[in-house]
Amino acid sequence: MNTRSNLVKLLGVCIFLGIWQGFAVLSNTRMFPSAVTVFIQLGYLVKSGVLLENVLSTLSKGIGGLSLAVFAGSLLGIVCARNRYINAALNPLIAVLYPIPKLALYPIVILIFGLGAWSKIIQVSLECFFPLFVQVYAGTRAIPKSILWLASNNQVKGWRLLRDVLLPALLPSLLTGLRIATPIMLIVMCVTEFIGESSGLGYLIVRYSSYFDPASALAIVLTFGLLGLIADRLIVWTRTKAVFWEKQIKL
Amino acid sequence: MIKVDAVTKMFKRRGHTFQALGPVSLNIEKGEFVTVLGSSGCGKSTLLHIIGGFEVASTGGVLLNGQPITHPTRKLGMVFQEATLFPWKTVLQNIAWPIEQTGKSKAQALDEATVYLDKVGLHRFGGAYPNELSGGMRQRAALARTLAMQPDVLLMDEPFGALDAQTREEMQEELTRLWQTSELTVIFITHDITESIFLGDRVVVLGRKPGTVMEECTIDLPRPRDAQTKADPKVQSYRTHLWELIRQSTTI
Amino acid sequence: MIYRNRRPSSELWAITLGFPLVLIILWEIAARSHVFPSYMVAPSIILREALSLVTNGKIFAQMGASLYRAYAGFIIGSAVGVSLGLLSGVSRPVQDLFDTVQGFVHAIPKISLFPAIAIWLGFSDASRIIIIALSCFFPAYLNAMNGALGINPSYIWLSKNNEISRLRCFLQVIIPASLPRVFVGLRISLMVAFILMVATEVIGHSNGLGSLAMSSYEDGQYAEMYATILFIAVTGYFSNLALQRIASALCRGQQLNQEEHRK
Repeated sequence: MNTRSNLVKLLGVCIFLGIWQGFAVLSNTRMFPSAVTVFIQLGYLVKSGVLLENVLSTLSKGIGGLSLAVFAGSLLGIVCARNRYINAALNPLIAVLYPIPKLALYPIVILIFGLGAWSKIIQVSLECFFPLFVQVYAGTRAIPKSILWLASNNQVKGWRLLRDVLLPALLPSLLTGLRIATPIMLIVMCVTEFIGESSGLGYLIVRYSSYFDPASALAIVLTFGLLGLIADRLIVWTRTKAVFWEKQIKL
Repeated sequence: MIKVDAVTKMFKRRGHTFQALGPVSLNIEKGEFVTVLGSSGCGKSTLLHIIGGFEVASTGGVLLNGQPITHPTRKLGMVFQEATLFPWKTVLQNIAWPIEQTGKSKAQALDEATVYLDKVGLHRFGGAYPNELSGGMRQRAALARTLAMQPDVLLMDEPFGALDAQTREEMQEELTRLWQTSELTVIFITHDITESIFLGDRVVVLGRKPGTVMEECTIDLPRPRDAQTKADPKVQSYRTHLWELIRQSTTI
Repeated sequence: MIYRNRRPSSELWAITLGFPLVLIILWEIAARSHVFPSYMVAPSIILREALSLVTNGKIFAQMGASLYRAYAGFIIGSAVGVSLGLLSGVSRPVQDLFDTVQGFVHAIPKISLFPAIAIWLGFSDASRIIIIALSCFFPAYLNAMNGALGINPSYIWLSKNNEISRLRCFLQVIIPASLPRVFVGLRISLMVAFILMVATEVIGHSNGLGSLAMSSYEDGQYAEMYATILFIAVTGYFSNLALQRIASALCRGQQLNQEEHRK
């Protein structure tokens, strides 16, 4: 049963690659590179160090923005869940802003922070804030009252409450939020690097596309995909280690 | 009518197989109300599933009027532990659904469904949605829906288990009343000893590890039964006897 | 203290309405007193600009162009996504067939494909709609599949008990039972469509609300820029509202989960 399943999965991959190859052969190959060409280009980019340099550039800004979002999202999530006045003020605002494409606000961000790295970091934190807030808020609200009463029964407040009770209880929600926010981070980094930047993966895509080199552009696209997959697996693995008390992994 | 012939069921878990059920052999006559009593994990649900054709026995088989049961049919209607009504349909539409599946038109099916709706006492609630009903009412609706299949046999898998004590007793009386005016054969699974005595003509006690028939206890209480029957002193002696059997089955 | 599900009292409503109001008033005052640089335009001016965009009709052409792409992409992407998702939910071989490729393409930010596709199709409606449709596919597919996978197994047994065909079971039982989860996916897809609509319009000059916002920014027409952003927000909000209405109408009697994992 299991091997049959794996065989069908393999078949799926083969069919996909077959269709891709078919398309590439039928159309003008320069416009539509074959899978092989893309992988060759990828290899070249890795060897020449271009890839690593730009991956680091993109990731450093991205992770910077993500950290800000984690901090702000967690802080506000916990505060809103525990104080209904602040919640009444902020939560509706956040709920209304959530469905709006924050990318539309990017010109404003550029105006304030310039065209360099900071506007990207801020844009990432702006967009990643929302899922993290929602998850931490829900996670905090879901903490059983009995645990909180236990804490106050033992006179545990403030920083100690946060460290010993709230944060461990919130860890699963935080990680779920991170799992949702990470692809958003990659998307935002990609788009912001399309607009006026001199380093990073998004910038490379635009550059190669302007050179009519779709194979290299697609190689970078693949890199994005790999980064996304690795990040996702990393977060899932972290969850099993950090939230060791939960046997059933249901992300 | 139903012959359970040396049925066993094996399960695979992490490499090794273990025998969950059997061998179980039973004979059930037409029109009988048989309760199957056992503690958790004795495989009584599995037995019911095999009788209904929803699961396949590892060895042995089940015959209905001489024909082997290999897959689910309308002749054996299952009533689940949770009401399992379609939340997107009203109560009446839910009851009408099995009738529709036999080829009748929607209008005709709704018409016929009202008969069953009234039978279970829900005539005021036909237009309600399942999420608007209480647990007891939902089970009544589920029962009506199963009756709408016009089965020969009712297979009931602890249908009153999730209800509170009062509702459970009401439903037991309701079910007995309904059955007594029908020609249905019923196989009823429960872990509640009093329930098994009140409802059944015969109580089949299933032991554990593996689940086999410990005893078949004929219940000699007068029919028709109602709320007064529970006061009969014989109930208490049956209860003590069955309790002892169950206790034996749970000590390994 | 954590307050659970208390009906918001009047004082909380006052805060909910008052707080943003206070912020807007502060913004207005700050902008008028020239505390902020020139690009922090006063809300009153933004509203005036928005109004003039409506009255001189300039905004409608742009809105039409943008919404056409967003909706076209949304409909194509989610239609394919929901159909394939439901099929994958009921048939393990279908699920396996798509599993690896879907998992990988899902991890790729679809917008990164845009410049490459633009080499082939130019910065046109077609290339934009393809990217939008591709992005809308995934939330629709995943949620439809999980919806079908997650239905109460008793429903299937009930169907077998009534001896109905697999097709009938799929149409009459599985689809209605999966509908709430399908709509969760559709709502996420719609949001994604709007995000990609903007993202594809800020690159490669063309028309539409996103392009207008970008060109207003480049021309220093900040009031127009803010007004355009407002229109983007408003169209997004009302589209979402419409979808929500459709969802509640079609999913009568069922719970529409809000807190589903947003993938």
